[in-house]
Amino acid sequence: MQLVLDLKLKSDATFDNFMPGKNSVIIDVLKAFAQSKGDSYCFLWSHPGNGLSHVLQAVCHQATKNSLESIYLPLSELLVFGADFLEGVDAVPVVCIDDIHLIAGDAVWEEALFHAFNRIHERGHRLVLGAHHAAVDCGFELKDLLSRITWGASYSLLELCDEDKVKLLQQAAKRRGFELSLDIARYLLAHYPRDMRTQLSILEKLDVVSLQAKHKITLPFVKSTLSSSPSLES
Amino acid sequence: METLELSLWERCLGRLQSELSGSLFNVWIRPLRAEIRCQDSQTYLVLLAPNKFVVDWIRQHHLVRIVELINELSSTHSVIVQLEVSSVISPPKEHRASFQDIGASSNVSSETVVSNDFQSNVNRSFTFENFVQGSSNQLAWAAARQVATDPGRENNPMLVYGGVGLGKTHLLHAVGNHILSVNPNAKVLYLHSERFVADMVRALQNHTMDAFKRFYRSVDALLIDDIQFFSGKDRSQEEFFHTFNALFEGKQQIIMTCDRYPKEIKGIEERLKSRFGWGLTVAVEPPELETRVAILMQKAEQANVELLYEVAFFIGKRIRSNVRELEGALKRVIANAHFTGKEITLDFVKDALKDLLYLQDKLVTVDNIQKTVAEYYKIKMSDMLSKRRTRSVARPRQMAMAMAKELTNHSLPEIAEFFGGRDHTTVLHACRKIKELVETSTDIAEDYKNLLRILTT
Repeated sequence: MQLVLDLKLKSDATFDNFMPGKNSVIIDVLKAFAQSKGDSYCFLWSHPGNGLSHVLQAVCHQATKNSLESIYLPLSELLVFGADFLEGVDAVPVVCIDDIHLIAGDAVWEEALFHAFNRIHERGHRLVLGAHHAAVDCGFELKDLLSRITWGASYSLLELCDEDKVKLLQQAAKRRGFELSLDIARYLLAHYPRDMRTQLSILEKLDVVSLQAKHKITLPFVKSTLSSSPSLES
Repeated sequence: METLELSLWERCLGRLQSELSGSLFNVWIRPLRAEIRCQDSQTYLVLLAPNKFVVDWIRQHHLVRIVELINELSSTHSVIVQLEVSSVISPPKEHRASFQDIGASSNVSSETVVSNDFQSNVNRSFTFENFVQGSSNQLAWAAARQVATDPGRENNPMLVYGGVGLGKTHLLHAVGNHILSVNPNAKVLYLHSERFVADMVRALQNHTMDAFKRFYRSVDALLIDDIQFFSGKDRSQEEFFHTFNALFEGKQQIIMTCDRYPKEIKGIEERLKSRFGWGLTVAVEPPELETRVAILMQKAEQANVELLYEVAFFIGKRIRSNVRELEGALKRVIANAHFTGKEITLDFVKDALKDLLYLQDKLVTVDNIQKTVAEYYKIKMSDMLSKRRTRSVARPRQMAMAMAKELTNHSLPEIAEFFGGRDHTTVLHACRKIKELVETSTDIAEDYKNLLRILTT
């Protein structure tokens, strides 16, 4: 079977579509980063669902706007291709590597990332690494790699407060072409996992179901749809 | 003709760029270099990839489309597309001396390479002057300085070993810079051991081993970082062994770094290990508080940021493992201050680094200290908490108390509580005793240093 590699950025994963909440400094740092300003390396970590993959892709979108070539590499999708995959990445001026916690404990991948880091650094290119845990908690066994990862500024992407989550859901609904009432947004947050990845996926599925049913998204519709399709939340 | 064909490749690139996502194009297509070869009136467009992996990938996923496009764009005559691994990679922004850039091309003679085109790749920003010295690295600094003043003589080879992020690479570059300041024409080559391995593999693939050997044996000083990565790579070790011998015999300076004492590296041939120890071997230790503070003050100055001593002291006291981590924390403080427009005060730093500091606190717990110290002295954990006063138990317990005082923010009564509910004056006594012993007994000083390293890295 031939493995299919899809490295396309999500078109809506931009800084404009990101609700910074308490993360405004991080966003400012990354916007500057994508303009070749400030430090050439940083590390971001966050629990899943706080928008880490979104901001890493946003860095690439922003870099493109600034005429810098960039690449987003989610290791969750690339592990199957083997660590050799990282060999040529230092040729790209802006590199964003996501999910690096997944390679912790894998000697071959750890060494490959270590060498890729060194090559990118040596070339004066820019690198952002992203993980679901703080660097010291990822479980890397290669100390050289861990020391490289902690070399730059490291930031944890913080969860949005409820008020911001409601706003974000409403903005996402608007982009999809419908209005999401405050009641529905609060209902979703009160009854389903509160991370934004899950919330946005529920929203997306509600949109699809409502279009198919040709029904407006109302609270009774949401309740009945979600209660009859528990899988919608996953 | 060649120009024409290369423009053909440019047009093909343009089409591929519009067809593929930016990321795919950047990773797989962009690193390809085109070369035109003519043989028996047939034109070949040879696409040179940086490694075999890329060749295989292109062959599987993109070659059919590339051939289609080339056929479409060169309607007047046939061009055969071939894929090959190349030893010539695109040069980085800043020209850096390397075998690929200047040594491996088969149409460049080695004489030309070494006499005219050599541009050192030493990082100019790492010098002896901006290396912050302390008792942890003074010996290594002085030894490196000696080597830089008189390269290729007594202290050849030189090996600097120690944990990660302690300034070994800085010293390598500092030696290189000093040599160049005395003799600007000196051929000083810095490289990571991985580069040596990669160069050798390419040279083998491209049958350019002679050029490889000539290149590496022609330098006046070879600065090679992290030799522990030679571990398990037998062919590279073999080649490095010969390079080493040639340089040594030619009185050309070799300086290496390693993350541990060379004898401790597994997977490296004994004959190579023994050669590593022929000259001067020096260690760098984790910096003590004073040095950490000095490093922070200097890094801040380099970034044109005014850092209060109390702030540097706070960061230095809380982040102990290595210089890179210190630098990372400082960079974050500076970035936060820049983007919030706030002044860097103690409160600001506490807030800016709160998650980082939380992680540090989590790493070094009294419980962890007790376990580590008990393991180090091979006593039972229960003895650590017991009332027994025999020296074999009491000394490790005192050491653990002193470590808890040094590495955590617990008060003395809290620490006493962790040790089986003792009085806080017992902790105070333990700390004083260990301090006194560290100054008078080399064994205790060694134990103290080792435990500090184990607990903070």
